[in-house]
Amino acid sequence: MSTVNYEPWTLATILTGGLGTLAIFSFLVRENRLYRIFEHLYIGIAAGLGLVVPIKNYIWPQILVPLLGYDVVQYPDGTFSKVYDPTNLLYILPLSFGCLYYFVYSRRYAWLSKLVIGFSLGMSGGLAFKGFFNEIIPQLASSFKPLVVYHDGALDLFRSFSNTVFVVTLLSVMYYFFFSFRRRARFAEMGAGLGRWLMMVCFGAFFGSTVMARMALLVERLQFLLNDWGAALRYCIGL
Amino acid sequence: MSSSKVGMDLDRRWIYLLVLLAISLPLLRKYSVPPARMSAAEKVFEVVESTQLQPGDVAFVAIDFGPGMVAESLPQAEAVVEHLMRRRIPVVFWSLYVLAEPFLDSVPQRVAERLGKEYPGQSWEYGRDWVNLGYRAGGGLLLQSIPKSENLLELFKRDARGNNLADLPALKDFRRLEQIKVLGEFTGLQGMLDAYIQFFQKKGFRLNLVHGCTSIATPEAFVYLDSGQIVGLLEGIAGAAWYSELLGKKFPARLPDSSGVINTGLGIAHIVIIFLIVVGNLSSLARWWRQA
Amino acid sequence: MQYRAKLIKLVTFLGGIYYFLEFVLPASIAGVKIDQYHEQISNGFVAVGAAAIGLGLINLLMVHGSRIIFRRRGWFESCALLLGLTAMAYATAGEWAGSVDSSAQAGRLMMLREFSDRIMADAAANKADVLPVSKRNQFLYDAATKEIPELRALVTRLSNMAGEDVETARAQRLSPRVLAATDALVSGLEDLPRGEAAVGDVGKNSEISQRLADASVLSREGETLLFEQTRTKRFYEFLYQSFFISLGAAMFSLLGFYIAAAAYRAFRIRSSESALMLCAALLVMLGQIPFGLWIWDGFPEVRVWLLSIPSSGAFRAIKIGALVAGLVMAFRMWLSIESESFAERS
Repeated sequence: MSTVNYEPWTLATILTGGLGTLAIFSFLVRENRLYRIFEHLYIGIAAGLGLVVPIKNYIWPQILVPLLGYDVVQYPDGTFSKVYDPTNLLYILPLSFGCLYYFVYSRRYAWLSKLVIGFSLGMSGGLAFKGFFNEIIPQLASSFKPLVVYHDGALDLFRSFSNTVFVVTLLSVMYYFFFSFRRRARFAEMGAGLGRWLMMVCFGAFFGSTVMARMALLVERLQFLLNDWGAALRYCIGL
Repeated sequence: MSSSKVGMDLDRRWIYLLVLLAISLPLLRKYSVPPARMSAAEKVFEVVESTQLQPGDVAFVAIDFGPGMVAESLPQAEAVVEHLMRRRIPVVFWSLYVLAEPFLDSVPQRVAERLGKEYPGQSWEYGRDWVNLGYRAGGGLLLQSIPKSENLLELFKRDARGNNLADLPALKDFRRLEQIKVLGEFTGLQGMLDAYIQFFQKKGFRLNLVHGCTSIATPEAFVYLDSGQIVGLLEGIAGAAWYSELLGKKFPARLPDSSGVINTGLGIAHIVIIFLIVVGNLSSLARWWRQA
Repeated sequence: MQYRAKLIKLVTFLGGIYYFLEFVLPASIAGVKIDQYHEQISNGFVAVGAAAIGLGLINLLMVHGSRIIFRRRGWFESCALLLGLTAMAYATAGEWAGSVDSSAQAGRLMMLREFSDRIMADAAANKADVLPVSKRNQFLYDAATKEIPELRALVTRLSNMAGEDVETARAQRLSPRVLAATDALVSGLEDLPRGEAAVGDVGKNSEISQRLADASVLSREGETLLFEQTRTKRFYEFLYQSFFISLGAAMFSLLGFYIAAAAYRAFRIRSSESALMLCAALLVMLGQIPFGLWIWDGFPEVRVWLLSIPSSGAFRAIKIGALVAGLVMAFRMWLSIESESFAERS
């Protein structure tokens, strides 16, 4: 007999979660309706959550509350916490402009939605400059590694070797992607070939890491099924 | 049949069954072996361990993962948060990923409960030990506006529950970006770490950014580790398991968590993959040999 | 039609100009701070995007609603999707409304704390168009005193929680803290100078503010804890855990099976490059699992070396290329100089 006492909601959560997991796993045998139903259910639930949370956490408290003046409260002596700030009305501008997105459904006025889409594209374009330099400069700076490293006055062979491999990899892989001109010299071909080889090491490392990522998800689910769900099931049938 | 087609005739479901059985056995027996050493995770540990606090200093933890990343990101986040809470560093949680919102409550709560069991006379409480800022919309746009703010409490105003941030003991003296001593970013989303690296910075201030990534993003994260844009890295569940091991060494009374068992199951899964690669290649080689 | 394309190009340009200038120009020119309203402007940009929140919902309703109405293939699955959407939206909205309801008292206490701060600020500024401090403090006293029974009721409700679960333990820890905060508030209120004798005396208001703030935070904490026991919150948690987390994790975990099948069927050594890739993959895999140590304890170091030297070098080269390409792309988008501009496309 199981020693754990489940609360009804917890029990229902674990049991339903396990059944849902098995329904999804049924896809491994063959594509079937049960899988599709649960798959759609998942999408619907994710959409439902994704719809309300931004309203709850952003649109309501940060836009509508100041816009509608709900942040102005009356104190017990009849005075108010603050005077309504008319600049809050300016929120109407971006909101109305953002509403142009919905013209995407109109054949006649679809071009209006392009205004706001273009605006967003332009905004990400303008922001990209800042992001680019903030990200790339430290990377470029750290790429200038000394090829000969001395440690405590003695040659550090391992670090020198590692730095050389790093710099050679960086340059040869960058060179591999230079498609602007044709590589004619044999030396140039070799450089690009070396880049391809070294990229294979990178892709191998990627594969190794991908295995861990994918398997971690599976192991977690199996652990849930075998331990949590199994225990809840045993509890239900009184074992 | 060409050598590349060898093995295609084997029903893939046999492979699925093999994987299922191989992983299930150690999980059923709760078999656990010590994890492999992850030097990048040790750097995260050192950063948290060496953090010295002045009044008003805090750690920020960004929880930006959903169900597809929960297997790896959740144990990472819990391990680092546990370490921060053990050191009584006030932790401010927030997320830029809408579907991660419920984790902002559950992660610190679970860690606080575990620590409460370990230290019966002590407690870790909301407001004093952690604060939840909730999901914040805007992504990179929001991030780039934070370093410009003179008073972060004015910018964030309220926590997810509606409390005035200045009323919470953890944030009473917190105002400036420089008071964020550590920022832990846990995500598997493409571009999320980049957004922090690109926009969450200020001239003359070096942020201690530690990152928990899903294993698939490990090679990319190493690029940032090399450039110093992140100062520590937890690599998938293996990183979480090693961090957990480090916590166990530092705090011997620590109650064991499940990361050891999961990591062992994961190890078995790797062995199965290696076995399948070898068998696939051998069968290909045998077929080629017969044909030759 | 030409004017529309021009207008779209102009708006696209305007969308990016602020952040571009904010980045390239110095922080202030001739004493004018460029980023003086940065926070507000950024918030405005976010608001533009936030207005699009309904697009996804409309799309889903159009696609799946029409499938249901016309009984097209997969209509039953569409019903499941809309059912999931409605249930989760309802549960999340319910959870939101419930948490707002349950923290009403905390909100009032927070308002009183602000009122107390305001009394001090107005007194310091010698504001003329408000009531005297003594009268305002009387209002503060009356309003805060009305909250005391509710705070005491909260203490009782927390103490009455029974069970051996973690929530009960939390309630047991919280209830004496709420009681202490309530008592502190009561004694603070008693000491608050009010009535005719206390003209202009705001000496105790900062203490009252602090006590009101503590009571507000703890009341919210207690009510949140009690709200977690309600059916509304449990239903939300049930949907989130059993459907959203479980189904999502299961869906992504299928990839574990596929990668195993791919390892057997597709990862073949057919060239020196693939052999090199396989070697790197094996070394990385052996370096990240506990069993690798059983063969050789140097695997983790080899793995780290592979990831931080050749793999990082190659990845950085790819990343630099991608970043430069991204910047060029962003520039072209911003200035609408794509070969076929988005603005001109019909």
